[in-house]
Parts: sequence; structure tokens; C-alpha cells
Amino acid sequence: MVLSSRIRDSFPLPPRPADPVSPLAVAGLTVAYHDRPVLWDVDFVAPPAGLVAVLGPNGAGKSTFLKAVLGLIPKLAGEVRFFGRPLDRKSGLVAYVPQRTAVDWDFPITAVEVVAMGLYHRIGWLRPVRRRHLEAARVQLDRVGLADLADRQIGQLSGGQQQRVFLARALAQDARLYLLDEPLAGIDAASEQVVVELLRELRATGRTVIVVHHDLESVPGIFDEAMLLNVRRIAAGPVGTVLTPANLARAYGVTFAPKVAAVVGG
Amino acid sequence: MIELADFLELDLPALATGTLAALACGLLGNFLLLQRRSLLGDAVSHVVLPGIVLAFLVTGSTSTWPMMLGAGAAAVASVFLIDLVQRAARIEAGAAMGVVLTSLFALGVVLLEQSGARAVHLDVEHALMGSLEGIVWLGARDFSALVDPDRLATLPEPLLRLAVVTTMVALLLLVLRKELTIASFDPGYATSLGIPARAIGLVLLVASAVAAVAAFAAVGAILTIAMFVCPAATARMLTDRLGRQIALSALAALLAGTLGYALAAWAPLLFGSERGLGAAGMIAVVAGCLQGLSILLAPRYGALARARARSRGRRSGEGATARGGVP
Repeated sequence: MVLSSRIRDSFPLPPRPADPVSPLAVAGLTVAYHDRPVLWDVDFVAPPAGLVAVLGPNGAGKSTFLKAVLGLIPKLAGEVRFFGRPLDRKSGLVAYVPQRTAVDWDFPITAVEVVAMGLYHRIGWLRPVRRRHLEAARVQLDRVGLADLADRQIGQLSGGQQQRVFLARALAQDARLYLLDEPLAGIDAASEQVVVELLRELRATGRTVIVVHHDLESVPGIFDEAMLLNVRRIAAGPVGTVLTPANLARAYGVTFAPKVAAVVGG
Repeated sequence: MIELADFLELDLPALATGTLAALACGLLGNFLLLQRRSLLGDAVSHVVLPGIVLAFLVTGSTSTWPMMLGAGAAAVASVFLIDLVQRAARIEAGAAMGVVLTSLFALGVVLLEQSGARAVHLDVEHALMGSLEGIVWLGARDFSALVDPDRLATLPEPLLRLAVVTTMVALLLLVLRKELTIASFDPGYATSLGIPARAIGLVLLVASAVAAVAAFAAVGAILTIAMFVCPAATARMLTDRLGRQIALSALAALLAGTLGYALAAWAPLLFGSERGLGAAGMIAVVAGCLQGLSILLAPRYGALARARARSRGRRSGEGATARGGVP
């Protein structure tokens, strides 16, 4: 706590007004673990509908960015607005898909029961999950192509199928803004296709989807916009303007950047 | 061999108390297991010492209620301390419990030595070891006592306490099942939905601390610790549905309580011995045996089933390769 306030005092961050209408507007977001800054003075404005990639090397603060805007970890400074307002979690307007490795897949629960969690805020406190909730969850599982695996224990699914279960849970929430942490990491080609199709479907229905992503090669084919992070925000905007050799060099370092640039054709 | 009056006065209250303790701790054990906090019972058993000593120093009394309240307050305080250590140091639950239980136990020993409380016969023994055989229902001579309000009012206090605690535990799991599930499975997602995963985790820990203290005084620390672990772990081997796991853990707790008591009280008679075995110990032994059996024989996750699946997999794998087909 002492170290945190020292960081704050040495770099006074003037409050800036965040964009009033964007699904997610972030101004001056700063996060530190102990005395090590993980995110520094990051500004970001999400488009009203579209697919946005959050990119950067390992340890750049990509996952931290999602957790901090959701208030899952404390921030030192910065303002975060969802649709012009502070986050009302119970509204369910913002759906979060954690990294697949964040949970214990041996947990005694079935795929359809996990998806039904996306309805918990609507079911309300102290009320049980009923048959109609599970039926609604099945519909979402069908959307990700897993209707026939609904009653499997989640540990018996492949990595890609597990990721689709997580996505189905977010779909069940029927949110306006989706924040996904590495949904395409380590999954099979069939699952990747399903996930990407659904992301496009969300965009087509006016949703904004922000995706932490590590594979630069696939960015131009999937995403409209990107933010390049390495503790600080390196660049943000349409993919073509973000993935330039100069920006990549600043994010990934000069030795690695040429390889990265070759991959994305920059 | 077994007389009705003996059974009602001596056996039934002890049997019911042991089984209720097993049930309360066993039910909570399901979620402690899923949150990797099964050792909470162990932690609480150590933390109780400074609570008892402090309660004696404050009230100057060694009677039951001050001791229970001291133990309970210390147990609940330790739960918050464990949570604090876990978050401040960013370490896992087991390590945080280890730090808290050793330091508070040490504090208890120092208090005991330095305050002069040692000179008094402080009933640490009773609060921690319990005495299942000491729980008797005097004056219950026949079955009519079970429906007689006057007689029921004289039921032994530990039994009544555990009946209340077990009922509350069952209600808690019933009402908060969905919240406990999501908070145990995916706390990050739960929090993003406005379900306070951390607070729900603390509710579980506080309930466990209260159940532990009620159980210690009745059945002792060893049985309590065993019951937080064994029934849930037994059930976990047998199913991968949470609802069934909870039901099976309750069954395992009931079985351990009744069978354990029966073996302790009456098995020696069969061999012509008049001396009973320690009932609490025997219940823990039965719970341990049930867990051992489930680890060995569980249909899908048991050691034998796995070994069979492995050898079958190897054989069919070879066959597939030999035929050049896709397995």
C-alpha cells in the first residue's frame, strides 16, 4: 500500500474525462502488483460495435487490462466507464470470459450447468437453478455446436470444447459488451472456426467484443481494431494502423520485431 | 445383551451426537474440498487454544459457555486472518492456513504459560478432545421419552447444539448452493456478474469454523478434522455431479457415524470384552475405511478402474496401430 501511494505521488495522473457513449471508455488506467507497474496510464475507447484485439508480448498487461476494467483487481488510478456509466455488474451488460486455465476443469459440474451460470444474475439470490434455466442454457450450447455434450462433466471435453462452453455461458448472459481473455489459445481448428463465427455474429448484432489475443498472424483476418500494449499503450485504432513495424518494434523490442512484422506482413 | 434403557440413556445420545457432527462437517467439506480448503478443520482446532485461554482470562470461569464462545470467536477471527494473509501475501489457501494456525497456536501456548492460567485446570482437553461417551440422556427409560417434551428438554447440551448447527448448515447449503458453486468454480466470473465470490467464501469458512467448534466439544478434534475431509473426498471419487456428491457425502457421514459407533460400543461385546472402544476414534476409522474403499473401487476414478482402463487402452491402441486405423 505504501509503495502504491508512492507510485501515485511521484506521477500525479490528472483525471481526464472518459468518452461518454462508448461501450468501454478507459482513461489513465494504472495498475501495479506490489511496486511493479503492470499497466501505466492506458487510454482506450471501444467502438460501438466491432471486434477489438488486445495485443502485446507476455507480461504486457493484456489480461490485467480486462480484470482491471471489470474491477476484479484494484487499480491505482484511472477512470473506467461502460456505456457512459460506472459498471453495474448485476445488469449483466458486460460479459467476461476468463482464461480457460483460470478454473479447475475437474470440478463436478456439467457443460450445461456451467452455461446456466450466465443466467445467475437473472435468477437472483437464493433461488435455485430450474429446468427452464437449463433449457435456455442448452440453446446456447447448441449455438456453439455442443448440444450433444451438454450433460458431460466439463473435464471430459477437449480444450476447444471447454472454450466453447465458456463462450456459451457469456452468450447466455446476453450482454452488450464481451471481454474475452485468450479465447483462441491452444484450441483445435474446428473450435477456432466456431468461436470466430460467433464473434462475427456478435458484431453483426451490434455488440462490441474485446479479445485478448496472442497470435498476431490471425489479427487482420478477424479483428477490426486493435490495441497494442506493453505496460503502456503503444497504439490503438484500426488494425492496419496499429500493426506497423515501428509500433511492433516498440511493443516487442527491436530484435523480435522484424519476425513479427514479417508474420503480419507489415 | 443390549438393554433398551441403556440404549436410550447412553448409546442413542452419543450415537446421534457423533452422527450429527459427522453430518455437519461432512456437508461443509464438499465445498471446502472444491475450494482446496479441506484443512480448515485442522487450522481451527489449533486456533481454539488461544480463544479458550483468553475466555478464561476475561471471565475467570472454566464453564462450558465461556469456553465455547472463546473458541468460537477465535475460530471466526482466524478465518478472516487466513483470508487477509492469503490476499496480502498472494499465497494459496493451504499456506495461509499453515501460517495462521501455527502462530495462533503458539500465541495460545504463550498465553497459557505466562498468564498463570496453567495453574487452573483449564478444560482444553474437553474443548478439543470431547467425550462422546460422556454424553448421556439421564432418565430416558423407554421410547415414550422420544415424544415427551419434558424428557426431550433434558437432552444433553452438546447434542442440542449440534442439532442446531447441523440444521443451519443444511439450510445454508440449500439456500446458497448456486452461489457457493459459482464462487468455488469461477470466482472471477462470479464477481464480474455481481456475485461477491470472496464474501461467499468467507460465509462458508465462518460456518465451518462454527461447526468445527460445536463438533470439537462433542466429539473431539480428530473426528472433526476427519469429517471435514473424508465424506466429501469419498463422495468425490464416486461421482462427477455436485448434487450427487453432496448426497453421497451425507450418506458416508451417516454410515460412518452409525457404523463407527456400533462397532465401538457393541463389537467388543461379541468378543466377550466388557470394555468399549473409543467411539469418536472408531467413527473416524470407519470414515477413513470408506474413503480407502472408494479410492480403490470407485467405478470410474478408482485405482482399479483406472488401471483396467489403462491396460485396455494400451491393448486397443496397439490393435488400432496394427490395423493402421484411427482409434
